[in-house]
Amino acid sequence: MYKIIKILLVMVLINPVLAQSPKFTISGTVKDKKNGETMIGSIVSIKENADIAVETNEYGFYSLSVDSGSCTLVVQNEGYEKIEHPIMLQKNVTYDVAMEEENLTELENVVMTEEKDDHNVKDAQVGSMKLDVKEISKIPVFLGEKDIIKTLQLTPGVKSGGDGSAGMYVRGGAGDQNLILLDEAPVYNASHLLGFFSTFNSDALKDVTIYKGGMPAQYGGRLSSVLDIKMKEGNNQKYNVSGGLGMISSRLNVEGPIKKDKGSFLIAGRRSYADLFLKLSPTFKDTKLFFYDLNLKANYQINSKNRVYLSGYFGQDKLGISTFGINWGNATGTLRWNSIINSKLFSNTSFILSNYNYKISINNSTGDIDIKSKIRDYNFKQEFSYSPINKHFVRFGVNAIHHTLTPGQITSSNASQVFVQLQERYSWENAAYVSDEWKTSGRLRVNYGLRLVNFSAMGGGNFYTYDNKGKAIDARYYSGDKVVKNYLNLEPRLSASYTLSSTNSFKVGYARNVQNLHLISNSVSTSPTDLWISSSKNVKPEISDQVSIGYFQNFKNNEYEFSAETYYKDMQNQIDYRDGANTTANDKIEGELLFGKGRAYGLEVMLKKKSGRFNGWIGYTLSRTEKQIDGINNNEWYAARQDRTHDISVVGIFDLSKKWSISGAWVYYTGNAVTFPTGKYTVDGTTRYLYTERNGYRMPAYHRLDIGATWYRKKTEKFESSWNFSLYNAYGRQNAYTISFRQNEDNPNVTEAVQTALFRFIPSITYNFKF
Amino acid sequence: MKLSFKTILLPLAGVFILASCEKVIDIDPRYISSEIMIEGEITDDSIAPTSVKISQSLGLNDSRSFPEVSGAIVVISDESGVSDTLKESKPGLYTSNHIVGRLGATYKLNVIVDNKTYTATSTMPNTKVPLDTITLTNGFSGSKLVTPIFVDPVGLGNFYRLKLQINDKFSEGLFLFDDKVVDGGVNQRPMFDQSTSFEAGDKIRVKMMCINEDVYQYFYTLDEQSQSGSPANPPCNIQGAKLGYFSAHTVSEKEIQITE
Repeated sequence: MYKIIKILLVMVLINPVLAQSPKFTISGTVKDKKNGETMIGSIVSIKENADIAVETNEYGFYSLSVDSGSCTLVVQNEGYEKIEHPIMLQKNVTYDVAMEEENLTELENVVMTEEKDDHNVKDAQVGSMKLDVKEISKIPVFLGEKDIIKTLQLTPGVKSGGDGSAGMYVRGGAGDQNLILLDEAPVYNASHLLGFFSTFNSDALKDVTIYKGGMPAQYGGRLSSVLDIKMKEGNNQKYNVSGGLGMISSRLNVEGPIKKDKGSFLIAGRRSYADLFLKLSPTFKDTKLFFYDLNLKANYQINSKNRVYLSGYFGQDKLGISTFGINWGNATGTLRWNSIINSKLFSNTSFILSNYNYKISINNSTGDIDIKSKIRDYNFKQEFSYSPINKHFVRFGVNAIHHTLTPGQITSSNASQVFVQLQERYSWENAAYVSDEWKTSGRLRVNYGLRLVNFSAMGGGNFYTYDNKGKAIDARYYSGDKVVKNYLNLEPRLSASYTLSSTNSFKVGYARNVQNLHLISNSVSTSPTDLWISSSKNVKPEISDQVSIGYFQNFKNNEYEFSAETYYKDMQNQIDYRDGANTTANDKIEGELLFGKGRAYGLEVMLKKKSGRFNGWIGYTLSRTEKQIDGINNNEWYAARQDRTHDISVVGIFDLSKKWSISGAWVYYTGNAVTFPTGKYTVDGTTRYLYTERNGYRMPAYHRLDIGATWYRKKTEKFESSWNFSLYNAYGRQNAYTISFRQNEDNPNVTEAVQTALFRFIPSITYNFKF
Repeated sequence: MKLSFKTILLPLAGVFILASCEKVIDIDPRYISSEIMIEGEITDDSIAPTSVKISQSLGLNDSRSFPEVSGAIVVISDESGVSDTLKESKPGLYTSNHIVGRLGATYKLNVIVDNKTYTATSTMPNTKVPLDTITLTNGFSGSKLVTPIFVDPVGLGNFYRLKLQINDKFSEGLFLFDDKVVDGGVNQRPMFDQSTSFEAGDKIRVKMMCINEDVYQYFYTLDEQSQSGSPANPPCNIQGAKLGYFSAHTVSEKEIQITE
C-alpha cells in the first residue's frame, strides 16, 4: 500500500524534470481590500500564457511558476474588480493582492459584459457545491433564521428530514454519514431546538462547500458527504457591528482589527427567546426551551510567512418540562498555524478539540437523576500543499484523532442510588493522505488521491463476543494500552473533468469512504439521545464506494448553469437494530445490532440562473436507496427510511428595485418509507398492531411554498439596514410529521390513522443592521 | 425511566408554534390472513392461577371486535407430570384453579385449535419480589405519578411488569422495569402514563408481576411499537403460533385511595 503512495509521489515529482527554461515563482495571498478577509478560490493567472492558472487555497494563498521575463498577473473573483499587475520576473516574487468589490451603481447595469465564472464546467471536482453565504439571506426560511443546511436541502442530492428536522441526507446516506466540519473541527450534532435550526450562525461564516461524491483525499471519516464550513476571520481594517432581531432569536456580530492589517477578531452570538414568551403562559410556565451559540475567532499575522488562527464554537440547547430536562451542546476549538515555507510549499498545522455532550435530567422527590453522554475528540492535523509546477497542486498530510465516547452515565444526587455504569470507549483514528490536482495542457483535469486510515479500538473495559442471536457469550477485559481491534483501510479518490468546449464538460468521480463512528438511531427524526458507537470487534467499519458521472453545460456567457449527475453507491457493513432492540442503558448494545449492505443510485439535474435581476434554480432528484440486512424483511432488499423517488425544488429571487427584493421557494418530495401496521390483535384487552414488513409503506408526499421579501433601507457609509419578511408554508399544506394509529373513541373496533402536521402559515419578521 | 423523546417533542413543537394539527387519514393496508393469538398465564395466585385467552387477529381496517376462539383444548402441565385441562369459562377464555404456579418451576402449555397444536414452556422466576407499597409523586405540570415501591434483590436478571388500575379502569400503558440500571435497592422509578389522571377519592390499584426475560422482551417490544421508527412484532414464545406469549409469573397487588 505504501508502494502505491510512493509511486504516486514519484509520478508527481518527476514532472518538473520535464520542464525547460528558467522559471521563477510568484506567490502570495489574495484578500478582500475592504475587510482583509482572505479569499478562497480566486483565480490567479498569467495574461500572456493561457495555460497558467491556479486557484487560491483555503487560506487565500497561491503559487505560480512562470518563465523569466515580463508578464501580467491577473486575479479574478466573481463580484470583485479584476486586477492586472505587470511583473518583471528575475527572481521568485511575493505579491499579495487586495481585491475590491464591484461597484454596481445601477441594477440595470448588471449586464453580462464581462466574463463570468465557469468554474463549474472546468473544475475537476464532481458532486460538489459551494454555497454563497451572502446570497442565502434572500431565500425565505423558517422563522426568518437564514440557515445554510436548510438552503443546501434546496439543492439536488441533499434532502431534508422534513419539518422539524435539521438532519441532512446526501445521496441516500443516513443522517450520521455527513462529515460536518467547522474550521476543521467535526460537529457531531448540527441541530438546535430539536432540529428546527442548524447550529451554524450564517453571520459568522465565510465559505460553505459540500462534497457529495469524489471527495478530495484530505477529508475522511464519513460515508456520504463532507460539509466544509469556514468561519470568517474578522475585519482587520475597521470595527464592524452587525446583527438581527428576529421573532425567535436575535444575533449580534462584532468584528474588528486586533492590529490593523496584522490581525483581527470576530465574535458572533445568537440566542433564542421563545422561552420568555412561554413564561407568560400558565400552561407552559415550567417549560424551558432555548438555545444560544457563540462563534469566536481571532487571527494574527506574525510575519509575512506565518499566521496563526484561533477559532471556537460554543452552542447549547436547553429544554425541559418541569421535572424533566434535556440539555445538549457542541464545543469546538481549532488552533491553526499557517506557514509559507517557501514559494512552493505551504504548511498548515491544526490542533482541534471537538466536544459534544448531552444530559438528561429527571428530578423527582427522591433525588435528581442525571444521564450524561459525551463524545470528545482530540485531533491533530498537519497538511502541506505543494505546487511543484503550475499543472500540479499536491496536498499531503497526516491526521490523528483520539476519540472518547461516553455512553449515558447515570448519577444521582441521592447517595443511596447506585447505578450500573456503562463503559467509556476509546479509540484512535489515524490517517495519511496524498492528492494531486493535475491540470493537463489538454482538456483533462484530474484530482486523484489516496487516503490510508487506521482505526484502533482501544481497551479499558470489558469487550463482549456475541452469538448470532445477539446474546453475549464471552466477556474479555482489555487494559487501556491494549488494542482491541485494528482496521486498516485504503481509500482511493478520483475526480476528473474533460472539457468538450469552453462551455461544457463531462466529469467522472470515484470515492471510497470509510466510517468508524456510527450513530445508532431508532427514532423517526434525529434526536440528541441517539447513540454514537465506534467500530469494534463486532461492529465493522462502514465502507462506501461511489461512482458518479456528470455533464455540465453553461449558457449565455455563463449566466445559466446546467448540470446532470448520476451516481451509484454501494455500502458495506450498514447497521440497523434488531426487532425490539433494548437501547436504554444497555451495556451489550452491540448485541442488539444487525449488519448488512446498502445501495443508492440516482440522477440529479439542476438548472441555475446565476446573475441578473432574476436568479434562482430548479433542482430535481430521481433516486433510490435500499438496504439488505439479514434478519429484516426476510433478508430481502427494502427501501431505506430516507429513500425518496422524486425530490423537486424551485428557488427564485427577484430584485424589484434597489429597495425591494422578493423570493420564493417551493419543494416537493415523495414521502419517506415507513413501517405501518397491516393488522391488529388484542393483548390484555388493548389493541396492538401487527406488522408485516419494515418500511413497506410511504408517508404522503410533502410539498410547501415559502415566500419572502427584503426591504433595504437607505444605505449610508456608516449604517445599513434591512427588513426581512417571510411566510413559511404559504398555502398551508398539512404535511405529515408523524402518522400514528389509535382506536376511534365512539367505536373502539375502528382503527384510525392520525396524521400530525406541524407548521402552516408561519410568518416572520427580521430586522438586520450593520454599522 | 422509559420516556421517549418523541412524547415530549410533540407538545414542545406545538408550544412554540401555535398548535400542531391532527387529522384522520386513510391508509390502504395490504391484505393479511387472520392469525391465532394466545395469551397464556400461570401464576402463584391461589384463587385464579391459570388463564388462557385465545382470539384472532384482524386486518387493520376491519371494524369487527376481535373474534374469540371457542372449543379449543387447553392443557397446562408441570414437570412432575400433573396436567390440568382448562375449562372455557367465557367464550375464548380458558381457566382452572387446579394447578397453582410455584417458584422456579417450569410449566408447559398445550393448545389444540382446529386440529392444529400450539405448545410453549415457561419458567417462573426463583424469587418472588413483593410490591411493598405505592406512592404518589409530582409529575409534569401538576400531574401525579404513581411510584411502585419494592426492593429489587441484588443480582441481575429480575424483570417486572406492572398494571395500573384506576377505580375499575385498567390503564393501557405497559409498565416494565428491569434491574440493568439499578441492581438491588428500593425502586424509585415512577410509572409514566400520559393517558391517566387522578382525582380525590380515586382508588389506585397496582398489580406487580415478576416475569422471566422472554416475557419481558415480549412486552418491551410491544411497548416500543408506539415509539420506534421501525416497530416490530414481539417475539412469540409459542411454537406453531406467530402471536402471543405464555408466562409463568408471580403476582402481588396493592391499593391506595387518593385522599386530598
